[in-house]
Amino acid sequence: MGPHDAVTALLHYAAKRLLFLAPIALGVATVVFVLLRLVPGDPAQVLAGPEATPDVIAQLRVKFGLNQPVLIQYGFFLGRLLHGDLGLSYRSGLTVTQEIGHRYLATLILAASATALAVGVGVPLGLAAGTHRDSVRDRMAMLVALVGICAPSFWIGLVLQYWIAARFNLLPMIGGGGMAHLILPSVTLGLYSLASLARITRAAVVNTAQRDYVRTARSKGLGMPFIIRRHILRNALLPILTSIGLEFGFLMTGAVVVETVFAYPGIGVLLVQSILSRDYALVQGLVLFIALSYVLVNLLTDLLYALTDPRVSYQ
Amino acid sequence: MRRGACGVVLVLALLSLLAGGPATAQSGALVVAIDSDISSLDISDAATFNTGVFLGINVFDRLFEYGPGGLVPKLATAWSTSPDGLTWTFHLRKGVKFHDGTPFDADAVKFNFDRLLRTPQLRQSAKLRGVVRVETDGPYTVRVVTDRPLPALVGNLVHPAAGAIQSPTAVKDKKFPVGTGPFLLKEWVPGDHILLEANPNYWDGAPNVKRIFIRLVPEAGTRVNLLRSGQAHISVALLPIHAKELEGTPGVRVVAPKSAGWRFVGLNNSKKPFDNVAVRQALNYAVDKQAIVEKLFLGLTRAADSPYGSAMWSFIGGNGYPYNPTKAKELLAQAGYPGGFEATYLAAPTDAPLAAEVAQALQAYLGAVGVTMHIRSMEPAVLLQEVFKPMADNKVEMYQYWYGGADPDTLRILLDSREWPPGRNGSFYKDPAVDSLFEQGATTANSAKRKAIYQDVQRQVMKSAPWIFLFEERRMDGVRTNLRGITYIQQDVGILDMRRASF
Amino acid sequence: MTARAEGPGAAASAWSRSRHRRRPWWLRDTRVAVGVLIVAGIASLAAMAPYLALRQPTQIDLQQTLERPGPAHPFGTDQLGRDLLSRVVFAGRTSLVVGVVSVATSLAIGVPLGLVSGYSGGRADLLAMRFVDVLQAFPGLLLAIAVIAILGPGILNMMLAIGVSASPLFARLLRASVLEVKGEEFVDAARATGGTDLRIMLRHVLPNALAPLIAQSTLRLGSAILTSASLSFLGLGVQPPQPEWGAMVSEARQYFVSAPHLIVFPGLAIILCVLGFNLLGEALSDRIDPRLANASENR
Repeated sequence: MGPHDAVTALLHYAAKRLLFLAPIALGVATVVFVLLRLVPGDPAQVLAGPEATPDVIAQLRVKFGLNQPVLIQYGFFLGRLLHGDLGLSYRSGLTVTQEIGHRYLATLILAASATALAVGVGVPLGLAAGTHRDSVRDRMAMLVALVGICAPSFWIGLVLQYWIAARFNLLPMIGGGGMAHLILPSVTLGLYSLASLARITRAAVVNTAQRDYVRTARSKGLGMPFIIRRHILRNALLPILTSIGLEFGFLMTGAVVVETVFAYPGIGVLLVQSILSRDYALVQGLVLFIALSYVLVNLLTDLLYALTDPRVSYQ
Repeated sequence: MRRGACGVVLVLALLSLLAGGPATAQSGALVVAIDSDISSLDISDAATFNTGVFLGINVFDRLFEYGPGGLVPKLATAWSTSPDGLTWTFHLRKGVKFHDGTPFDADAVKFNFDRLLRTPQLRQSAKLRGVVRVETDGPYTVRVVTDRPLPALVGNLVHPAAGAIQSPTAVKDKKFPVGTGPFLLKEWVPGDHILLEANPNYWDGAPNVKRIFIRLVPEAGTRVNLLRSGQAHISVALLPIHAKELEGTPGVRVVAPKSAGWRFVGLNNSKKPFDNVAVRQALNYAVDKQAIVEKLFLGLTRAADSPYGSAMWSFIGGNGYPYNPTKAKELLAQAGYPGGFEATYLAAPTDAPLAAEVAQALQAYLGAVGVTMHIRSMEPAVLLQEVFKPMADNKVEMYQYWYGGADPDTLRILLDSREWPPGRNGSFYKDPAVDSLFEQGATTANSAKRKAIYQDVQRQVMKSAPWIFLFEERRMDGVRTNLRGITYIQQDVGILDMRRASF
Repeated sequence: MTARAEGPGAAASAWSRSRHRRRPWWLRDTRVAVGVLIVAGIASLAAMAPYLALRQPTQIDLQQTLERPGPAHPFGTDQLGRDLLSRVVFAGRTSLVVGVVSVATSLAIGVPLGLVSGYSGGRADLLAMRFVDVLQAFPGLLLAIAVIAILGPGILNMMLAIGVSASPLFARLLRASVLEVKGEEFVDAARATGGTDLRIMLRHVLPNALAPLIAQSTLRLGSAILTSASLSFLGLGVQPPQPEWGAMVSEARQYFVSAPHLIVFPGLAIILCVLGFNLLGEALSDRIDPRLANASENR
């Protein structure tokens, strides 16, 4: 397959995946729409917030067509969505998109750096463990990884915050600001993924190392580093890559807890605050936003997967 | 492997460039860590204490303010009341401009007061109740006419939010907040921070601090640690345990001003069994307020023996309910509830220090006399909405609340029968004797007579126990010792004044 | 795949065969032991809690607030003077209940869905799987949080929320089992002898699915406990004064400097509990399909 064909094939694949994901995205929007209608009480009052006066509520009812049949409301809802109109947060008076705005970037950065940490440390750890199976190094690493997936992130965060930031003042206590403010939250958030990736990498390595062609290579006298690079890594890459994509999505929601601990100005804290203050327009917008981002990330991971795996045919 | 590590560092470095922002705003600024966000940029619609303290005090001026020696002239240089007490004349300061260049004059004052009078939806509008009209007499004289003598007007005009004078031009353009104060609002990111910048043209001299960065840090422990590590210069709303922890820490001091504010458990006097005064008194005997004060608040406040906090003018103590669970049970039995009863308590843990702990202590004390109290926790906004529903829709039985003010008349808002929801009398309390006392107190100009009236109010209110009285609501703030010029305006629970701060 | 279709019996003999292999199995053997020990320990402690010589977890005593661990209170006391040891133990009860009910909810939703979907095939199957895809499009905590946002915070709502968000997994699992069985020849044979479809399903699909179901349920239990701790920490789950590990840590945040034991002990309890269920669950799923060893993603 020449390069030109490869690109076209990839684009076809991308289009197919998009086609597959579009109904999912629609489904997500529908679920969110339904969920909001399940909140007990008058939907207009619900959207307007606990402090709204009767005329504000009446205005809202007209604006969102809440006196119309449900299906029409659904249509309006989808239409507004396509225009990027997610409603108004009653507490601040800003539109939901404005509220999400720069905070989304902050959470994205947090999730990205946590992912970078998880990959940058977790994968090499798993590699080292997998290639030195059953050694002390392996057992220790896997024990630590095991505890890593059992420890709640809020606890790790609090412990780190107390010891490193408060007691010894080595790093800032709360988030928002330059790189220093990003370190503790990223480490806290990334720990679970780090542990998880280490275990997955190790398993993938062990799996691949057992394959015949690796045994053949070893019997030929080729060194392990070469074999790792050439064969093991390439084949182990696939499950690792899919995991990274999944991890990123989970990190977006895991950020909710970490942002609370570190007062980090992202959408996680916003989500919790809006739920507790019954700011349903904001809740709806945030849930939609996060879910749709996750769908997008999955799409990108799919494409990456397709790119790297020569066995995947673009059918 | 090495390449991987390099990659990680590179990514992190790139990300941190993107993440940069408020860090630069903090350099050289006075950093304050606060517990709850301001509610609105329209100061006349302020709903929370912090809005008044951090927005109202810094960005706006009032006609006058309380100082150590009494009233201090601010935007008003002199004032007087007519002999019949119905007309107040204010002479205004000349040469003052709002931040947007609009000149400050009598028309500006009239505009602000008229707006409060004509717009009942604004949350501060109730403070001008009793004012009939506002007249201007030339550019620097304002006359406020009331329908009865209103000595309490002073207390309302010094209120950080209600008394703030906004620029009429800005309000008409819906631009908030524009005042005459020593600071301008540079940026408000709701739920995150407020950035104030010094007003170099302030009529009373530019402030020493160029920038104030007010960070929202809802968690008390984090606020303390920020203060301790120097990452914040002031941390407000600390807990008593932190005051103890900070004892002996170099570089930090704790300030706990005496307060005129009070915390209580509101009881819905219109619902059984709270309509029975014996039941309400029983509940007061059932709770060991002294233990709460000593053990939860480490002795840093005082148990309530008056509806007011001890710094309120005309305060008189000694009418409290000592801890007596036996008497509580007797009263309940006499009232027809020998087996106790069940009720739900609405709590807002984020609205007051140790509110969650107090709720659970209350639950235990009431449980011991047979009253099963269920706790429902919620955000302050939600609690306010439920508590101040008109009687027909109101399902609240017990609720958490605290209040404060500059003048004893402030109690009228909570207990006068004319202030039933949607007013602030969430307990639906009605006592004609107390109503009449409030009326007299509000209209008596003679200081000594007024004091006596409010002392009667205190005695009567304690006897009829519309609430479970708890304790004086005191603020505890922590300040770095390298910061000077921090004072407290002695009204309400004590209002932090950073305007003359310097390093 | 073949190991599963042969039922649990085959797995058992495979295991006994592998006992004679070297290290890898020995390692797994320890995991089962430790896992069982932890889970059994916690379960019995939780069951017997009211009968043990523990103080009441909600008994406040303002004279003994924030005591360090000592002879009178082995874990110390909290800000209201409540004994921490008893609160940690009773919180274990809560956590186990939450875990079991959440998993039961997931099963109640996922199993019928997967069964019907796999058996009916065609459009019903497609629709059901799309629905499952949509549910899985909400990452991690998000669906649980969204459900709680609608229903309001509280322990019941939280169990429902966690249950709903984990149900897609079980739906897929069941569907896969059904599809395996569907292809087998004995299905036609059974039908020919007059067995109803339902009977076939129950007789063949369920045993086939049972082992992976148990393994996944165990893993899900641990995950549910972790999730409920996080939700309660955020204030969206168990409400005070009911003891719950996550909620206890949240309450104790402001006392970290004076009373770190209030945060340490509940945290350790969470780690231990989740570790037990994870070890057990992983060991179980390894036994069922050794080729999936360590590669299963447990959320």
